[in-house]
Amino acid sequence: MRLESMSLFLESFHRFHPTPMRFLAQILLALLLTPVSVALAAPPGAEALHDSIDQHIKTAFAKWKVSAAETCTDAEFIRRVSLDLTGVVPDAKTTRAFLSDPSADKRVKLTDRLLNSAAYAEHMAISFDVFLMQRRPDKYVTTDEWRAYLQTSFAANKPLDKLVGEILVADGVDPTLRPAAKFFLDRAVDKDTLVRDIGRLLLGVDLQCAQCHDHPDIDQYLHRHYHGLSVFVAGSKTFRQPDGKTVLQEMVTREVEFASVFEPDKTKTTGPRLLEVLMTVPAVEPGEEYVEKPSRTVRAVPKFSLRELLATKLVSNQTPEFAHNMANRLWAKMLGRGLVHPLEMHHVGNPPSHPELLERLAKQLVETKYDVRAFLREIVLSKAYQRSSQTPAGVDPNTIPAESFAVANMKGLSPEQLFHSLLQVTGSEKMFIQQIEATLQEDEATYKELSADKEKLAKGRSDQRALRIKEFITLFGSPLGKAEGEFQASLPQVLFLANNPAVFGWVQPGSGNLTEQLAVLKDDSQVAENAFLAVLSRFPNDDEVKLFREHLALGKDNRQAAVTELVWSLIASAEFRLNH
Amino acid sequence: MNRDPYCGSDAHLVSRRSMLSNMLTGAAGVGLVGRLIHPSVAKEIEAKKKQVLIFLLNGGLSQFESFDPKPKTDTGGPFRSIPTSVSGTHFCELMPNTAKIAHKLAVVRSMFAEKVPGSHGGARDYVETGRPPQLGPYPLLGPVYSKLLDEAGELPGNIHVAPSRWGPRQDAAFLGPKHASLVLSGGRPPLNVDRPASIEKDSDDARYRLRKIADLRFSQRRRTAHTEAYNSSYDQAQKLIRRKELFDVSQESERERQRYGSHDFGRHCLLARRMLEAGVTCVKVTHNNYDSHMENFNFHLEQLGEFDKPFATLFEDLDERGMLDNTLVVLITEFGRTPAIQPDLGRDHWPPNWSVVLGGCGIQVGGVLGATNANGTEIADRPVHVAEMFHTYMQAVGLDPTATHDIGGNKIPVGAPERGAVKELLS
Repeated sequence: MRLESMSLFLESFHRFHPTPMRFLAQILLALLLTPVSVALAAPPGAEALHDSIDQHIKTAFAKWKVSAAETCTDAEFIRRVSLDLTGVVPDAKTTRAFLSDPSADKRVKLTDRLLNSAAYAEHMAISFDVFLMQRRPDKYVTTDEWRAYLQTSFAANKPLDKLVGEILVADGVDPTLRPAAKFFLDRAVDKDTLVRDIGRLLLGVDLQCAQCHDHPDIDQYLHRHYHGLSVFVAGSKTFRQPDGKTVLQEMVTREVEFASVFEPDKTKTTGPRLLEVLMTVPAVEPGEEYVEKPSRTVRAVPKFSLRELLATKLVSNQTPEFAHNMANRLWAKMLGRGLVHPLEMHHVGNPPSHPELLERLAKQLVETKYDVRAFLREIVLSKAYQRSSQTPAGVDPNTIPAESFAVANMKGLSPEQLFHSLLQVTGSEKMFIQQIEATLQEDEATYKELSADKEKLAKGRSDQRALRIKEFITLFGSPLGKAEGEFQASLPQVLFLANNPAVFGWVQPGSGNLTEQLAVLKDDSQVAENAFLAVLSRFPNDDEVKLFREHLALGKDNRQAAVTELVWSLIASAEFRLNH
Repeated sequence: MNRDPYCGSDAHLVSRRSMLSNMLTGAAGVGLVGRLIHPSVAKEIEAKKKQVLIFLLNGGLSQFESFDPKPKTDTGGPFRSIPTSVSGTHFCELMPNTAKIAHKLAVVRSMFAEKVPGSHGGARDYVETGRPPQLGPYPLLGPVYSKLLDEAGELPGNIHVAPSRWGPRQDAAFLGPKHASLVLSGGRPPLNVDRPASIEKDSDDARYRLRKIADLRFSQRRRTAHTEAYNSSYDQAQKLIRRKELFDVSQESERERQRYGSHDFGRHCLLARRMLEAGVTCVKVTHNNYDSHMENFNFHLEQLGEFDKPFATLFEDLDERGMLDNTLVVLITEFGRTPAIQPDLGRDHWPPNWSVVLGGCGIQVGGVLGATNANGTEIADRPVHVAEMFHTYMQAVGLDPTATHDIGGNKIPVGAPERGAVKELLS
């Protein structure tokens, strides 16, 4: 590992959260084991993916009679790619350096630096936590443990098929893979929840309606698909170990019976099936099914595990839906909309906007052994990703369909992106730590107790931080079970940004934060420049400098108050709230 | 439906409506009208804007101690039943004021749902969405009204006057945060409605003005869906901050406050009236502490003693103001309580049957729908599923429960498609 990425890692480590030390060691180890400059080039002989992307997107413009927006500016690019790959806007210093860098390949270099940063792994861990757990409350595995596992996986660029395989097979007994069992355990191993979420999240098909009958509107979603998938998980149950830990056990199940509510007397059976593919399971002599027979005190372990079969087959080439779904989800993460939209509605009646491109993306994932880092890199390097969110003059932006990708689709900042970015742009990490300390000190006796124990104090602090992030999630996030909500604005959200004492505290001068630094600058245009670079990652235009000057002149009696208002107006702008 | 021949009939409703409109058109300027009907209210009646008032009795109201008394049976408990303004219909003696307005209410005594979860939260969601919570989350009533009925005026479309310790929740599910209930925890103003202490009174507009200018450049030649939604939320916030007094019941006269009672629930009901008068589309008032696993009778004596008067007072006030014709009033609870009385005089959760009460907005009032058997252990007549009630709550305000929400391309039926509205309750 290079010194630079190491220090970058430590910096972001301090900036984001005091993850318990034990995870630090894990992450460092993973980083050390990862070649930092991964071979990111396209497979020899093939057209680079980013070229294919642009070919397919451009060809389809005729279909909507649209023409493409210009390439986004460097300022737009650094903000967008930083949010998409590391979950936070760039700091002013980085932005300034990037904007003044004359080299032609600076976007490529920036992309590679971000993809190899610790913040990338941390951001992907949050994204995949939300994607896979849908903001469910913790049950048996804590979010901290789970995110550390995901973070280690993304830092090591673990192939995505391997990651998903681990998540499906982990039984929670082996401590190193225990966090991976969260997918099953924290859904309380509830069969119907699991079937629905495996279908929606991993295969891109929402089979809920097929639980009781063939889907009424979608010919392709069949009753047998739902129940075929359920066979894999029907035998899995929780088991409480003597040490108090809840883990998974598996009873032998080979098939399930089901009957449509429309024909309740016509019972059918199915073995394990992944949509149309019925799996064959080796025959076992009766009485010989188990390695460990189930009993009250013994965790059942079958000789042939259907969950293991699921973990192997779901991510294999026998289930092309997996590659299509993952390609579509990663695309949507970067481009703000899936090629198949909604993401969990893959079926012939809802074809992709660019069918050949989806094929190409899925093929890329399979051929590169699910190399997520290389995949995201290719997307970022495409013209499609680097398009401006602004239409050319004279074109009504509302006439350009989102699915054409002719203009960049804007995304709302996720609650976590918003929280981290707000802290970063206001330069208020120090103040935030003081706020946390003050909250802890409100209860003198408890604080005294905490101070006596270093570990407890660290835990108290990280709990407070988590509470604050939770406040952002409650206000700005999509609810449980629907993690991919579209952008919305609400009254409580803006009241929070406008008036919440803690958040407004970050905007007010103090502890050397942005506002305090700006208020001591003598040159008004310097105030404007630094404020825009810090908050909006760009230089102000002449009108904006003028506006700043005028406002500062009006507020000359109380420069700090005038600067506070200016900084707040940038933070409260749509330009800050959106990833554009 | 067991209908009282003299009250709540169609004829009665029609005559009442025509009387109102006569008053509005013919007698404008006459003192009586001015006193009874505020001009802004009159305008609303004209526009036929529908509003909704929901009472949630949280914890599980005992049907025995309220709308389905079974005195002198093994399950009935110690309280008497009293006659109501509808001949032949009796309520528990704990509801004397509500009994007086029974002719303006429709009581459903045969509510049920399958597989009601044991948890209060799950059962509450079931009752408000008509969907088993394990299939959810689905949006609660307030968010649905906010989305489908509210015209996005100055005020939020969906306000929940909640007991203290009841914070903001993501109760709008896939409808998103825009439609989530604005919670007035403990009847206090919404969170963060007060400006930071450091901002002087006259300087707050400046930052909003600056914000707008900052957005001008950005909004050019960009899709407007996101930016417009964001900007309008700030406009709404600014207006709401200026109208904070809306959340302040101390602005009401001493006499009014006396009429509603000096306890929290009374204040919350008066607050609800203020907000309905101001035009808020859906107001929900939650009254806590009905989960009487022990001391069921003392609990209900105390809770209904608090509930009965302000409830009836608010109902009558809406009627007197001419607002009832366009305001649906719903009284719900998550499940009933067990017929069996436990050794410590408690009643436990009982989902097989419970009672719901409706009124206003053209609901067929003055009668009882459905019935339980002699000692209330099971439904004897016309079971009504929670999903049917959800359809009814929609249809009563002119919404089509068989329509679908379009959520980013996903089509989701508004009401559970396998059920329909309760025709007996709708005019």
